[in-house]
Amino acid sequence: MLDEQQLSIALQRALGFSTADQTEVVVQGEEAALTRYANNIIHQSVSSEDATLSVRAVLGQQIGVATTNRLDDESLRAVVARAAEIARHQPPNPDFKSLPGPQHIPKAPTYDEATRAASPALRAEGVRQVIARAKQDGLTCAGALATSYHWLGVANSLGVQATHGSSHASLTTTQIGAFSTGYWEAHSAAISDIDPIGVADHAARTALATADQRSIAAGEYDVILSPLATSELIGMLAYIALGALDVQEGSSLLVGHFGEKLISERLTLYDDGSDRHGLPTPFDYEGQPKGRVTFFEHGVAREVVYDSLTASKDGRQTTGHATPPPSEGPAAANIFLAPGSASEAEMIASTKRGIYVTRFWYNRVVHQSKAIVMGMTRDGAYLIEDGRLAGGIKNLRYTESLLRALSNVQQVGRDPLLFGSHSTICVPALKIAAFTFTGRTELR
Amino acid sequence: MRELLEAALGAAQRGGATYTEIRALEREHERIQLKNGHMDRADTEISAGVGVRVLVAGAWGFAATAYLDAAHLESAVRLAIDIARASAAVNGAGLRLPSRHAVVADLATPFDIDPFAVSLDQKVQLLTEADDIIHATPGVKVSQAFMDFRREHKRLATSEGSYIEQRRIESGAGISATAVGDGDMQVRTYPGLPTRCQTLAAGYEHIIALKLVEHAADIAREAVDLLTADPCPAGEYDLIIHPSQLVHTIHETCGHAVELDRVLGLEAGYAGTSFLTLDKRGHFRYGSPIVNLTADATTPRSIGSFAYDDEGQAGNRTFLVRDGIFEAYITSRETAQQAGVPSVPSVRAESWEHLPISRMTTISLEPGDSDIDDIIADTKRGIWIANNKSGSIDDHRLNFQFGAEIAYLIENGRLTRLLKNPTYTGITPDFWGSCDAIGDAASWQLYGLTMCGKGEPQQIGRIGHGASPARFRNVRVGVMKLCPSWYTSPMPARPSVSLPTAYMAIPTMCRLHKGQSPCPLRSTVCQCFRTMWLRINGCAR
Repeated sequence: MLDEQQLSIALQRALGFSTADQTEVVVQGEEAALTRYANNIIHQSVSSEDATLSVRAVLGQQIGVATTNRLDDESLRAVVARAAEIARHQPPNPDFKSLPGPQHIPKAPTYDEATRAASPALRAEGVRQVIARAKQDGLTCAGALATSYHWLGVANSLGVQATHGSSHASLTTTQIGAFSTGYWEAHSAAISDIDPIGVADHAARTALATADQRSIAAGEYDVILSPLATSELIGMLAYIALGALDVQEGSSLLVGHFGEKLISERLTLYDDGSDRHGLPTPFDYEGQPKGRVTFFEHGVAREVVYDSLTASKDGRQTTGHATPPPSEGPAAANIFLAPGSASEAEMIASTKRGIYVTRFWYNRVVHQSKAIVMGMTRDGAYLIEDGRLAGGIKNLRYTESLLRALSNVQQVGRDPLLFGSHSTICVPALKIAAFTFTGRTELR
Repeated sequence: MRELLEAALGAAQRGGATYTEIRALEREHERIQLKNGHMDRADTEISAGVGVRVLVAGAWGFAATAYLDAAHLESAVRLAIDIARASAAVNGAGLRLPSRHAVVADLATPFDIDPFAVSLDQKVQLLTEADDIIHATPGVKVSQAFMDFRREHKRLATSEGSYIEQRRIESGAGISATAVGDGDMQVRTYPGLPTRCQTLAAGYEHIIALKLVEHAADIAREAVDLLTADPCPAGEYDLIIHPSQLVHTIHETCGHAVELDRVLGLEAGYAGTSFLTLDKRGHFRYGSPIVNLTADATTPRSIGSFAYDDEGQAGNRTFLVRDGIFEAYITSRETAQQAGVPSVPSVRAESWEHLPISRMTTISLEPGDSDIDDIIADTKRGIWIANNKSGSIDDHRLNFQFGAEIAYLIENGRLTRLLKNPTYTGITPDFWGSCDAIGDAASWQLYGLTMCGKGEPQQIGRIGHGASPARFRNVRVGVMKLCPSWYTSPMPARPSVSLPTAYMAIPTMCRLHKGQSPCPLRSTVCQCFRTMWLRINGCAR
């Protein structure tokens, strides 16, 4: 088990060892366990613990970062000296003004003792229930049940002092039939919120309902994206467009378009580290409180997330979205898409011919500034005919503009779901018109 | 350290383990990144710890700790045993591993210049020179230059009596130019990997040989030129794929497809399975008769090569596809036994805290016998494509789509115009079945990919790939439906153009053939294999 008191002492001692103009120390401790299963047995089950300490030393506008997982005094002195040495031997960064100062940090209740203490036997029991559900219908299954505890401490020479411990539990399952698969997953701060049988049942029903798969031609289809599939598209948008560095370097599709309506007025997308529907995170990796940032308000582009470096370049305050050192720019970490009013059943009922997508797979950016992305459907794509699910289809490849897809949203689901751990996305289902599929999987 | 690890082996045996392996790792990682003339990132990371894997009652357990003392190690052993017992209670009848000869060895990868002995000033100066050239090019918005160095010392002790120490040095570097204009953004890199650095198991001599400064102006100019280039047309074209692009296609369509753990369903919950099912081995036509793909853990200077994997098995060279026929998988001890196929050792863990899993070694397309100029001259209507930008493949490794940084149209055997945003898509065996020309050994290039994700918790693997340029007939290109007009826009004829020197060959020469780049014998007969590892002492028994 990690000793938080020891980690706090290491944080302070490293800060005290530094003679740089400014110094920041970040300590991350993690206890992580994961029980993995396939072919209806547990084939991999692991546990690890580690703590890393990173020092950012500032000499004028020269910055060096060094990291170690050795926390004795000799190693701490060495890592502090190494960070300063790196800073000394490099050209100054003219964009750097200062490390941030202390701010009020709100509380964020994301810790569950039972999750941190979850035993191998408890995880194995959860997996046993998933396997039992698969066997009910002659399916096999594969996936993982994971629990973790993460401790973050940030301190700097300007007075920032922030610590936070959080737990996380997740279950994924793929239920596998002779010719089809179904998938589902669940996330929470508490393992008691995870319902293994419910998650397995969701996936198993998909596998069974898509067992007879048709091959349909590529082309444009109305699609209904499950919350999971929606989260994958929104995650890519955040990755390529919603950070201040993306805007400053000209690669974000928002450049020159703030204040304009870029996507459907049905969509309001924001980041909020304090929203209890997600996994609240009180501060970022610079020890700054996480503010609410609205990316799109009823389709209109509003703002992006900042860390202290990108904020100083634009002459504004950080929004509390610094990433772990050595940072490569700020990132959205608690993303929400405001729910609408439609149930998935209503979306399906309103669709004459379309495709229901359980999840996407291997999503990648084809062109960043135009937000063109590609990927595959996986583990449960249905054909929709005359307002009802009409069986499974073979997987399709999509190539699509995120802007075009999000502009073509016709309905927004009323029931958002949460995905992710350190970074989370909480989104509902979406119905999108004329989504572009460019290929299909078929072995001749 | 050895006494510590062997004491833990004893504790595991007393706790009921029928097999135990303990892997201690110390690693230092240095990264330097310049952007737009200033330091964007400079850091070093030191990480050390121990991972314990036990087989108890037929089930595996794994636990890892960062604390390198007897008390924590014994605690990790106890936890690994508890984990295994909890799994065994669910599984019922379990796994038994066949016994194996013990190995005792102490080895290191060779290098000429220790990158950790080179001053930070010297590294920054080289990167600054390259970055300045790119940054000064009108139209370039972002210039970047990267270096990446790792050294590690790994010790593996097993209950079968093996004790293997391996030391390793890896060095990588690269440069990048991003041009922005008229709502478009174009990126060019050298040597050309989305993972920024071309990394080899070599010393700083590799960085010098890359000649970053000499290539900076070319990629900066190309990035700007691409802004106004014609978009890649849509349709079926003959495709000549440069190694900087082809290695990614090999990675996704062959490397992952031949992982036996995928085939057996062990990755079905995350990365997926493979179309190369057990019934296909030995007779399935994967590619045309000129296609030969190998898994070669002995390839000199490759980051995918090793003397012994993390199960203590010696690396070997195996044909995965011979004369177009699918022949072999990459395996672990467990999967090779389960499937009853020949062992192609491949097991490595990302770090001490990760479970060892099957990973690609050095997966390569063997050279053919064609001269690259002859291949181009022999192509009536085609596209030459280089430098991977994106890639995606389905969960059975069949339906793929790749994007590249740069392409040229080929008309009547000549490169006639620059094309931007090239993409191509296909089905794996159809694609490899259309391969009708492969460049010779002189055009074969070795790359190191440092960002291959697999497993849960996800592990990032470092993989080697080599290829010569190759031609594929009638491949579907231009699937990026960015603008419908792309499909119909007329493209005026232009005079023939020449490829920049960056595409002729990047230096990947081996130690015995220093100065001749690439190694003239790097086909199947290069004796450099013998020098991949320097044997410090020890023996196999």
